[in-house]
Amino acid sequence: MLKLNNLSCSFDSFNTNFNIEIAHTGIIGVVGRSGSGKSTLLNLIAGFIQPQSGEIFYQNSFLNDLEPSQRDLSILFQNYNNFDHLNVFENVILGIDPQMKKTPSNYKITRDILKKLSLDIDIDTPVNLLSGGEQQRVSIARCLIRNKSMLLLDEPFNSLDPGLRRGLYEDVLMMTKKTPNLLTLISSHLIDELRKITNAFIFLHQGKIIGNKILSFKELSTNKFFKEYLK
Amino acid sequence: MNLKLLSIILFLPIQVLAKEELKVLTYGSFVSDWGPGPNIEKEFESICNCNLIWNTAKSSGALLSRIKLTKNNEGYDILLGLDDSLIKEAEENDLFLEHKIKEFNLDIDWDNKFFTPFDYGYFSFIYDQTKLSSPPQSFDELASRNDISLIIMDPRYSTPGLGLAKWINQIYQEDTVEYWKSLQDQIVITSKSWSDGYGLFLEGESDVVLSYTTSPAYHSLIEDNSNYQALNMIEGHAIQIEVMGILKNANNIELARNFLEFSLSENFQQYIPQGNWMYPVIDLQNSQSDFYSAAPKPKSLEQIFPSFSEKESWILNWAASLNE
Amino acid sequence: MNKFIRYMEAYSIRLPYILYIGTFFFIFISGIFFFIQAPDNFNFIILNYSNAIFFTFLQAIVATFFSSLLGFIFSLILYLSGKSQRLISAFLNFCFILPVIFVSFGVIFFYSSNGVLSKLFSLLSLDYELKIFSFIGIIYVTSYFNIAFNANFFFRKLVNLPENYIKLLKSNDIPFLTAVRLQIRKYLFQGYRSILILTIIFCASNFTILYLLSGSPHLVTIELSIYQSIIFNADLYSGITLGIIQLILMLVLASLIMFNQNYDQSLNFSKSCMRIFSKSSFISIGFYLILFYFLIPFLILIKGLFNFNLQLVLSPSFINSIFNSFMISFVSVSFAVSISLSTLFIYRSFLERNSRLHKLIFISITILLFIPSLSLSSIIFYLNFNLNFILSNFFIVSLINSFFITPIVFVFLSSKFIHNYFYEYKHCVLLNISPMIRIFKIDIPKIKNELILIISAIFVLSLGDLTSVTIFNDSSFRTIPLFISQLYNNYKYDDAFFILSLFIIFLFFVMYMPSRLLKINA
Repeated sequence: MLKLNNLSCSFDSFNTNFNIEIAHTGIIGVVGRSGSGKSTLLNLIAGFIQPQSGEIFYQNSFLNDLEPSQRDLSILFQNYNNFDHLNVFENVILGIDPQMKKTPSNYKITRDILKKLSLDIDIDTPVNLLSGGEQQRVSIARCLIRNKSMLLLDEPFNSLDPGLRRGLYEDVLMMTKKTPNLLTLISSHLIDELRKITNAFIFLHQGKIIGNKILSFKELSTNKFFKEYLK
Repeated sequence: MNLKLLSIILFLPIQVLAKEELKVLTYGSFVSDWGPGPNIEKEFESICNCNLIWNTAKSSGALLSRIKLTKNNEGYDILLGLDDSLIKEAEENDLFLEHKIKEFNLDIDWDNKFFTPFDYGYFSFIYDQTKLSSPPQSFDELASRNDISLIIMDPRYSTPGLGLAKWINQIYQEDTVEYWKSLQDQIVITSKSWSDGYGLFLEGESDVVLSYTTSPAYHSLIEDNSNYQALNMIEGHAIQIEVMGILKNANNIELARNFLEFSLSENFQQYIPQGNWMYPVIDLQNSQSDFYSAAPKPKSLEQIFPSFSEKESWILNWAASLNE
Repeated sequence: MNKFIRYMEAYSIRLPYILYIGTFFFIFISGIFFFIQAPDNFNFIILNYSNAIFFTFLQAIVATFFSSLLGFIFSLILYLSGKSQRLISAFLNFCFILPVIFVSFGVIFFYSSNGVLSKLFSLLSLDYELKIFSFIGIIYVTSYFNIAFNANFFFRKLVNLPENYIKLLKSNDIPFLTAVRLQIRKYLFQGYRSILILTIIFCASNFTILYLLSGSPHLVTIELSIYQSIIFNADLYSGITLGIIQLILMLVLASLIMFNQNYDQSLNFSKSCMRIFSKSSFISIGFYLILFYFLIPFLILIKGLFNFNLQLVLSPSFINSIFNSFMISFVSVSFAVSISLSTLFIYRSFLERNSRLHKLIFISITILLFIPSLSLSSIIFYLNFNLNFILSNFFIVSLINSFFITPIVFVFLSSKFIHNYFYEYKHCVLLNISPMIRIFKIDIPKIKNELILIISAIFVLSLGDLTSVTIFNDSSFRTIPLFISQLYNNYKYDDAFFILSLFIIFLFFVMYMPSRLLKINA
C-alpha cells in the first residue's frame, strides 16, 4: 500500500497537499493540467524532492528518510532515460550492476529481458543510434530487471509518435500483467490513451488530489475541474 | 681477468664520483662551441683532476644580479665575466673572497684583492666597409650622420651597453644627456645582450653596431672576410676589463684559487684571443701575432672603476635621453 | 560503512581541486605577506614603470583592434569561399596554438632586413624599409594568433547559421554581405564580448613576443619589466609588485566576462545544401591571400628541413631539452586534467543541488586564464627563494604550465560534461551509482573524444611554452623552445630552424593524429 499524508511542498504559485491511500496494484493514471503537480507528486514519491511536511508510507515503510535508491521503486522520465554514450547492454545492466561488468550472466540477463520486450537489437549498439521507441524500451528493460514493486512513469512516451506510444503502453500493460504485485503510476495529459490501459485515475488540480482517492473515468467525468480540463 | 674488469667497472664510477667539482657561472658566449670555455675546461681538468661545470646567465649584466638575488644559493665557486664597471658594486655587496694572489705579471695595470682580470678590450662600433664607404671618425660626426643606423646594447642589462654609457660620459661629462639625445634617432635597436645585437647587425638590421675593436679580427681570421671594420674614434676608446672572482660561500675554495692562478697562465690565456676575441692579460704577441695584426689596439681612454652610484648616474643619463 | 566509503570516494575525487585551491591561496597570501615583509628601503616608484603600463595596454588595444577587424573580415571570406569548413576551423585552431617562438622566428625570417621579402625587394631593385624589431613587428606577431582566434569565433558562427536564416535571405534575394551588415550582425556578435576581452587579455599578457622582438627600451610591457627586474636587476620586490599590479589590472578586465558562462563549444558542420558561398574572384583571391598570410611562418620549414643535422639531434643537450619538454608537458597535462575533472565533478554537484556555489567554482578555475604567467612566476620565485630553493625548476615550471592550461581544459569539457546532468543525476541516485563509478564508467566515457582532443591541444601548448622557463632555467634544465632560442642567439640560425621545423612537424602530428583516429573509429 502507498499512503501519502498531507504531503506538502512549495510549487510555483501554490503549495501542494497530497493525501491518498492506494491499496491496490496495477496501473494508475496520474492526470491533470500542465503545472498541476504531476511530476512533483512522482518526484516526491521517488525521493528526488523533499517534502516540507507530511509523510509517505509504502509497504509499511516510512519513506521520508530513505534515499531514492533505498526505496522499492523505479522511475522513468519523458526524456533522457538512458546514458546516450553507453550501449544497450550497459544501460540495461546498470539496473542491477552499477559496475556494468561484462560477465556471461549479465549478458544473459540483458538478452532475456530485451527478448521479453520484443527488442531485437545488438546489445553493443550505442543507445544514441536507436530510435526513440527502442530507447524507451531499453530504459523499461532496466526498470524491469530491477524487480521493484513500484514503477513511476513521468510522461515517458509523450515525445513519441502515436503508433510508438501505443506499442509502449501495451508493453506497460503486459509488464503489469506479468508482475502481479507491481504498482505502476503513469502520468500523462493524453488521457484517451491512458484509458486504453487503465480505468483507475488520480486527478490533480492545483497541487491537490481531487477526492483524495482513486477515481474511475466515469466518477471523474462528474467533477467540474475535470470537465474544464477536458475542454 | 673477469674479476679485474669487474673491479675496474665498479671502481670507475667511484673514481668519477670522487673528483672534485668546480662550478663556474659565466655568460653564454664564453662557453658556446666557438667560445674559449670548452678548451679551457679540457686544459684545467687535465691538471686539476676535477670536473669543471659551467653554468650561464642570460648576459654578462645578469651575472651579478643572479648572485645578489640568490645569495649564491646555487653553490657556484667562481663568477667569471664581471665587468670592471661592476667591481665596486660587487665589493660593496660583500659577495666575494680575496683571491690571495701576490704577484701579477700582466700586460695591464692591475691592483684588486678580490678579482683577477682574464681579458680586456676596447669598445668600438663595427661597420661593413662595402656598405659604409665614409665612416665617421668621431662621436660628434657619428651623431650628425642621420644616414647611419645604429644597434647598441641596453646599459642596464649588458656590459657593452654599460661600457658605451661610460664611454660617452667620459667624453661628454656634463653634456652627456645632450649627446645621447642627439644619437637617439639613429638607434634602431637596443638589444639586451651583445650576442643579440651583433647577430641583428650581421642580419642587416643596422649599418653600425656597438662591439669591440677586436670583432673584425674574428671575421678576417675565421671567415676570411675583411669587410667588417671598427670605427677609429679620435676621442679615444673606453676600455673594458673582464674579471673573475671567488664567491664567499663557494664549496671548493682551494680549487677556485687554483683556477684563478691558472687563468693568468698561458694555458688559459692562449684561448682568449681567438676564442673570446679579446686581448689576453699576458703578453702573447709572439704566439698570437695573427690576432694582434688583425686587431691593432686603438687610442685608449683612462681606466675608471666607478662606485654603484656613479654607474647608476651613467645609466640615468642614458635613460633621461629616452624620455624626450 | 557504505556511506563512509561513498564519502571517501567523493572526497578523493574532490582532492585535486582542494589541493589546487590550497596552492592558489598559499601563493596569493604569500604575495600579500611579501608586502608586509618588504624592507624599509624598498621604494617602488610606479612612475618609473608608467611607460611599461601604458605600453602594455597600447599594444594590447592596437593588436586587439587589428585582430577583431581582420578576424571578422577573414571569417567572411573563408566562409564565402565554400571550402571545407572542418579543415578551415582546424587550421585556424592550429594557428592559434602554434608556439610563439615559431611564429616569431618565422616572421623574422620573412620580414627582417635580411629576410625573404627584403631579398625579393632587392631583386626588384626596390628599397626595403620595414623594421620588424619594432612596434610593427610586435603588433604583427601578437595579431597573428588573435586573428586566428577571432576568425575562428566568427567562422563557427557563420557555419552554424540557422538554416531558416539562409532560406529567408535567399527567398528575399538579400545579398549576403548586406545581410551581415543588417540582418545577421546581432547573431554574429552574440557572445563576442567575452572573445574581445579575452583577446585584450591575451595581447596584454604576451611575454615571449616582447622578449624576442622588443628592440627598444620604450617597447616594454609589465611582463617584460617583471622579467628584467628579476633577471637583470636582482630586484625581486619590484618584480613581485609589478606582478601584482598586472594581476589586478587583468582581474578588472576579467570581471567584465566572469559571469558570462556561455561557452558553446559546439560546431555542427553544415551537411545540407543550405550554404552560402560566392564564386567571385575577389573571394578566391582573398582566400589564398589569407592562406598565405597564415602560412608565412611555415616558410621556415623549407629552410629548416634542408639543414638536416644528425649530430645536433643526437647531442646530449638536445636530448636533455626534449626530455625536459616532454616531462614538463606530461606532468602539466596530468595536473591539468585531474584538477579539471575534479572541478567539473564539484561544479556539477552544485548544479545538481541547485546551489549558486557552482558560479564560484567556475570563477575559481577560469580566473587562471587571466593571471599572467610571469606574475605568478615572480611570486613563486620569491617563495622558493625564501624556502631556500627546495622546489626544483622542473616542478615549478610544470606547476605554472598546469595553471595556465587547466582553465582551457575545464572550459572545453564543461558543456559536454554537464550535458543532461539533471536527469543523469537522478538516474545515478536511483541506481545507487557511487561517485567513483560515475566518474570513471559514465562521465569519462561520455567526454572521451573531447578529452583526447583537448589533451593533444594542451600538450602542444605546453611543449611550445617559453615563459616561466626563461626565469626558471639553468644549463642543466632547458626545454626545446629555450634550446631553439639559445641556438638562435648563438647565430646558429640553420640549426635553430632545423630543430624548429622538426618541432612543428611533431606538434602537428600530436595535434591531429588523435582527431584522425577518432574520426576513423567513429
